Amino acid sequence: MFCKTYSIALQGIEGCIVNVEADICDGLPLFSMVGYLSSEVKEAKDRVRIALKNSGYKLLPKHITINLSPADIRKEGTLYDLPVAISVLCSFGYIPESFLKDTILVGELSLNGEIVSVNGILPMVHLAKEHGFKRCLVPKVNAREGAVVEGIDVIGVRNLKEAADYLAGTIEISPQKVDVKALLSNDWQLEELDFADVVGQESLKRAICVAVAGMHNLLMIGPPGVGKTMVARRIPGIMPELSFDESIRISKIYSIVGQLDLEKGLIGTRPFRAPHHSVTSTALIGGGMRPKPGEVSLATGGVLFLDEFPEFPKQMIEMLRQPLEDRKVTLSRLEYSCSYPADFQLIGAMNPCPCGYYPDIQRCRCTPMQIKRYINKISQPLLSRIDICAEAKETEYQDISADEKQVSTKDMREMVMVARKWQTQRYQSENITFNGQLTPVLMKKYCRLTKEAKEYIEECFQRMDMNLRVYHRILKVARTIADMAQSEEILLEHVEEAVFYKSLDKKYWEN
Amino acid sequence: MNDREYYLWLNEQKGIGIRTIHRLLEYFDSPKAVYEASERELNRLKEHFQIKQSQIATLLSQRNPADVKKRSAMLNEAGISYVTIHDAKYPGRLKEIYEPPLILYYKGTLPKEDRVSVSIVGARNCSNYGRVVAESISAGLADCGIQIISGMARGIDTYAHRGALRAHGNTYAVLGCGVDICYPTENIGLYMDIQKQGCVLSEFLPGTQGSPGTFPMRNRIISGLSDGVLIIEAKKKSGSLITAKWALEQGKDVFAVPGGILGEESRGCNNLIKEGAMLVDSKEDILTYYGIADRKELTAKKPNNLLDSKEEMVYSNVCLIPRHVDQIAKDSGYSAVETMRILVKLESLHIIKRTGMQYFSVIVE
Repeated sequence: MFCKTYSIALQGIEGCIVNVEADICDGLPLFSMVGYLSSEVKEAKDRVRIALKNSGYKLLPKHITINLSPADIRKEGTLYDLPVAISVLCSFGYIPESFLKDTILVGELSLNGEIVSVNGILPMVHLAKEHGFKRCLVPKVNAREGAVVEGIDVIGVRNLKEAADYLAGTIEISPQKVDVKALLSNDWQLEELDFADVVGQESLKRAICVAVAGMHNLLMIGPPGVGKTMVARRIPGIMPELSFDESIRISKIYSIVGQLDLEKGLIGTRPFRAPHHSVTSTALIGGGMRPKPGEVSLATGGVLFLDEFPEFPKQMIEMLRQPLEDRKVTLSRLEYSCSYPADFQLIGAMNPCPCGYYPDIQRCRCTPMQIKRYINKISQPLLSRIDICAEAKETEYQDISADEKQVSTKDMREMVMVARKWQTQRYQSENITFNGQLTPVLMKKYCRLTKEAKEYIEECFQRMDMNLRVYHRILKVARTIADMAQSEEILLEHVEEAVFYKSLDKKYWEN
Repeated sequence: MNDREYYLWLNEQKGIGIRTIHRLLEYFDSPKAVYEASERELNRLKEHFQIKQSQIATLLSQRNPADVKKRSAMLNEAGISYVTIHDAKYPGRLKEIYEPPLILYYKGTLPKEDRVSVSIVGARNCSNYGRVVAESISAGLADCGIQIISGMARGIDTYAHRGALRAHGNTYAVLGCGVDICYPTENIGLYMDIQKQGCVLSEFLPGTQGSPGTFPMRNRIISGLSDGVLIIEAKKKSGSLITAKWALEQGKDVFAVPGGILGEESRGCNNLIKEGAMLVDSKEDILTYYGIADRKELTAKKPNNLLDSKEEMVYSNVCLIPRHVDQIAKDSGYSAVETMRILVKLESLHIIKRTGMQYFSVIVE
């Protein structure tokens, strides 16, 4: 007898529906599986056979054939154990077929019949919903993760027997429920890293606000121990709260690599990724035979922090250029290519010189040549994509002892929100969202300068022998500063501040 | 051929060094006499003056006036001037040293005889301390009319030249390679600027590449051209100490800037001071030594045009030592954002400069 169940093949965060067909006929007892299967899928036949036996089902000695279609897409992963087992049971008549046609089945079987967790449940459930399925049977441990998708029932099952009984209608399992709103807002309140802990560094904090407000890439320079990392960790906190859609988008990526907190089922805080400078290119950008998302994708919606910026191999940094431009990574393999989002805020940190104390004459022991060599490690093309440069200063005792009120995360987030709101309204009809993405053409349209500001920037252009690229960077940043001040036009003061942040320039070290 | 061309001819023979030339000139009075000497005459010198057969062969075979004329024209075309020891323009101070170069090739104008010259030399791998000291002392001396001589090497030499140029003084670079070669190449800007406010000069034939032997040799010219030598940041076995040694032999003054005793950077300088070199910790030490009046105090460059009260306030909180914007903001009592804007403005007026990204210091004149 022939029977069919449905499962999913993921390619990146997208994918397609897989039909799992089983047929039983007379003949020599045999269990064969076809349909362009990778070896872990082929192994399913042994797991399924034993799991069925151990769950109390007796299979007659028949010729069993399993086909996974479409047969031209390679099936990978262990998620097909459950659909294969169920389709076998169905064709033996244990389960009526009626219930199966609106159900997606996903799960790995262990030999005793238990259903083990698999990665990527969230994007799968999402896909199932888009294809009009009514329910998903997933491993119990993954149920919360899938349940955040609304409009589809997600049923967590512990073992094969439970799954079969549910599908046969002999037991009821209520769909998993998750209160998404509470989950998200709860996480925000839990945020314990506050900018108020950072003492002094007023100008650095301001630079960070501007950078986050307009999604400008930021480079922090400062001697060791001034708290560059401490500051960076607090940056996700001043970004706007995650919306549900954003959260889903981020959680999908984490679901694929299996880094989702199974208790929560959803990423509620903006990610902060700080890969060490020994990271491989695959780990940074993503890749592998089955392309997995890399750090740039895992930092989507949050911060990618590169500490000791010049220590990263040059070719690694060069690879960041494309994701910075396109806001996504496309990984191509012979059989398919998939894209992962890579929509992150780049924050770099570095010391001003090898010993870290330049320009403190008392302490810096570096020779000009050493400093030059150190700075030369950063690739120029990447440097030109960094809009804002901020230098952290060492904290003095007075700063710590002074009982001044420090700018807190809450204050900073308010500033950021104001600017973000303006940008969202302004760029409604464009395909960009932030000032950081402005192209020269769009700049002409949206960066209107007052007469004084125009004159000033002209003067700077000549006096400071700027090039066009620097000019555009200053204009972009000035736009953000104007947005923070809720000004439609860019005033002189906004340009002046933007000039202050102008990015690292090699000749500064020669003065 | 005129006199100068005879000198040029003698100076440019391959395989004949400055020592041999001086020996020859001891016997013959002028290069012209060498040019015209017969083979027998030269051979007679062989024993007594230790002149090799190959050198005699060169002197005899290379007697072509057209070659010399061509060479002279070539130098002229390349913008290279030369001065022979016989010329009145030849630096008097240099004449007095042992085995002075027969010819100096130069681009620019030679040092003036009536002005005090001080050479500043030191470590190529200098620290920030050395850099600041070299630049400020050099600027201070040059400002009072002292001619600054150095070797245009990396490190202290470079900053000494830069300081003098910044003060619009005169500075001279004695190169260890041909005068038409800029070494190190990154100093090309300096190489061009020095020619406008002094000259680059060398005893080596144009086109000569620098080699380990040529640099110590030019050190004797650095000290020879000057009245005193100032050493900044020399390690225990530094090349700058060779210059100091030459200076002592030539009867010049030796000055040294002391350094910390914990590091290695200034051990050589400190040793010099122990041995009797004059300790210098400001330009006044040298000025007083030569009896030169300090023309004016080093004044911070400040436009007499109007800074408004806020700008004045911020400006008064910027000093010679680089300060971070947050420090400046705190002391002047304005918010960070406001201070940033004012600093940018002051920077565009060229009265303060950025040292590092957000550290500022005043520009001195």
